[in-house]
Amino acid sequence: MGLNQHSNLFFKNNVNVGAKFSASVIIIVTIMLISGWEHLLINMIIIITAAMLTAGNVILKRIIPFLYICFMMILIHSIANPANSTYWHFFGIEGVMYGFRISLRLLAIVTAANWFILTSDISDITAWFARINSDLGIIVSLVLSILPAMKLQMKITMDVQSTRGLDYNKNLFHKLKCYIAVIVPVIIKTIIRAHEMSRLLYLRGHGKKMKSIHSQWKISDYAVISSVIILLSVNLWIIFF
Amino acid sequence: MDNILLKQSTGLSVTGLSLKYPGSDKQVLDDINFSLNMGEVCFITGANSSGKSSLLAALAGLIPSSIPGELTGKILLNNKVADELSASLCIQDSDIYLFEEVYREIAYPLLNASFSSEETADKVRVISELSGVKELLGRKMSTLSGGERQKVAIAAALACDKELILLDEPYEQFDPCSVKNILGSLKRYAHDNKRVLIITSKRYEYADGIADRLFNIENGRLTEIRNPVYSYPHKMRADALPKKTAQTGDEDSSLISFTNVTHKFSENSGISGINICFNKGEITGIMGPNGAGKTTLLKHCIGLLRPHEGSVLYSGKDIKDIPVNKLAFKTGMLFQNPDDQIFNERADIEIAWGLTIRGMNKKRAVEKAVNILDEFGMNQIVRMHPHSLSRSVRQVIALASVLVTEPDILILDEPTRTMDDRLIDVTMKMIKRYLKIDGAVVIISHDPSVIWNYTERCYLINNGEIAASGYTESIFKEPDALKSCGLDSHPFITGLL
Repeated sequence: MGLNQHSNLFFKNNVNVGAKFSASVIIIVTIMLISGWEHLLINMIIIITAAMLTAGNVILKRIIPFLYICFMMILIHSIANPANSTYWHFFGIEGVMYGFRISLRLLAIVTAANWFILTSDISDITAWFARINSDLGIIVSLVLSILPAMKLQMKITMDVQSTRGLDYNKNLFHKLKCYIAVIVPVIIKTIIRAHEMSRLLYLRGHGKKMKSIHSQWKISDYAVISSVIILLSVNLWIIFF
Repeated sequence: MDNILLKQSTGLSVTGLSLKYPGSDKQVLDDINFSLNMGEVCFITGANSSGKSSLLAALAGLIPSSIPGELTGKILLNNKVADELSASLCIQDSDIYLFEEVYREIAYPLLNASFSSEETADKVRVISELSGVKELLGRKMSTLSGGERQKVAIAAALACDKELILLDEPYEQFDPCSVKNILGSLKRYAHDNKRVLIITSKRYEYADGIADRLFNIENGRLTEIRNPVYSYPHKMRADALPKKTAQTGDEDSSLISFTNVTHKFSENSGISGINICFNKGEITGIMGPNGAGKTTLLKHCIGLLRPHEGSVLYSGKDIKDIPVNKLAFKTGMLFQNPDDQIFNERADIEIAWGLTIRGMNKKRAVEKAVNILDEFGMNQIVRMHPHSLSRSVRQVIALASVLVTEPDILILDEPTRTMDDRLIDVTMKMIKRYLKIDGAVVIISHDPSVIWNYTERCYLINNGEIAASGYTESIFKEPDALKSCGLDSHPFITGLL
């Protein structure tokens, strides 16, 4: 087991979900307050490094797909941003910088959210939300249970429709038509599922008072929160002083 | 369960119960009267759309609070008006569950009843042992088979700890051994804890020795069966079989053959060293317990799974490089759940879709779809929305959409699971009609009567390996082979042996 996996396990087992959730929210708030691209870039490097050390290299795999979106945002702004006045060939420098700032913010938010998910068990997340409010806990649980069910359904329906002769490898228009044959059964089954789930909730006594479980914060929880508060404070000092 | 009722109780009493759904003149439940004592197990049998599920929904208090309907009559439990909190209901569709974790699915009703985490853990352990899901507690629901999910649903219904337990066709995906075990446990549970247990089913073959009372429901009318006859008709076999057109067993007659096929999943389930062949002009049956590898095996016929070792040959040619959608031109596959594929707003268009993507003119394709529905005797559903029809009729639509393409090989994964005897008969006649002289049909079924009545050759699979193979008649007379697959406990087999 590598160092990354050890630290991931440590964060899963020894840091309270509430502390991790609060830390992620503080990081996102910090990022939203910063406007300069150099300042954002430094924060981004700090956040990604910390996330890799605590959650493992797998976090990079989660971020990489967003790089394409970032590239497209920069490209679109460089061409179409109305604030463009200085040009390199036909790319507006103001648009590039604007797109770059948005991209850095997006990457930081994605990193913080993925860090929270990767360092927490699903059952711990739902239990923590349930402690705040039982309905909120149920909503989170149901969403988290319906998503893998939808993903599985998507795979099953794609298989079933291909056994009926559907070819997914033709032109774009054909592909769009194909996906109607896949998406519609998935949506219909999800609607039926949601309807039946509401009945199951009713039958299984939802709405009665659950016993609340309190958990004490440990030193590790305070350490995580302190680190992000320091990050926020330093950034605020740089912004305002 | 340790929460035994100590007080004297009178049980369930239903008087003059009638139900109509909005916008329909049909009386779904028609003046139903019956009573059951605490501790009694009752079976209610009936054909598709006879009113079984509606009756359970009414008893569970779902109508009209959750399902709109005009309900009249009286439901009393221990002389009190029964409401939704008096009953627990296990719904028919095992695909529907609340949580991703098995433990949480069972624990949720207990947590709602204000049990502490420790008390909940103890009770979940007891219930999971009773329902045969103890080994599944650490698993995720999406990774379970249909039969396993159904067991978890039963466990969750028991965890509600209600005086009235309602199970809507709870064992249709179980193998016979699992059915026997779970019904035995449920009977003991109901008796020891003084619960009223009502089980609905299409047939009452498993009620022998389990049911204290037996009812039949037809067109919403309930009648008690006083002297049930627990025997199966075995007489159909001779005229139900297809005519053999090729000498079976020789190499020329085989259409699809598996040579040492192995496909293993990460949990070490799957199939290994499979050598079988499906012959021209034959209907072949495949039976085996839950998780034996039946569906895994058949998915290889159409390329949804590829062998890790060995090869699958179609007319002597290896199909490993042929894509699924190309194999679909020769091989038609029907899956267990019709809702995985239905997406058109009309039954005829849904059936015709398979033809249109093969390049047929839409008008001609719809004509063919209408014709095939006519052959099924269902021309009244041609223009109806498939999702406004019952599950068994949707299964017929899914089957018709396969048959209409006239494939050489028909692969059918539990085609009759949700069907009553009449519909099974119609369906199997259609399958036989569409069996080409040089084609083949392969059927997976948990129902030995379907395999006995309609197949010529049969394979028994257990733990991913072939346990027995041969002519159906001889396989069904081999007690050891049947026992090894847990099939000997099925009432049909017991009667036959």
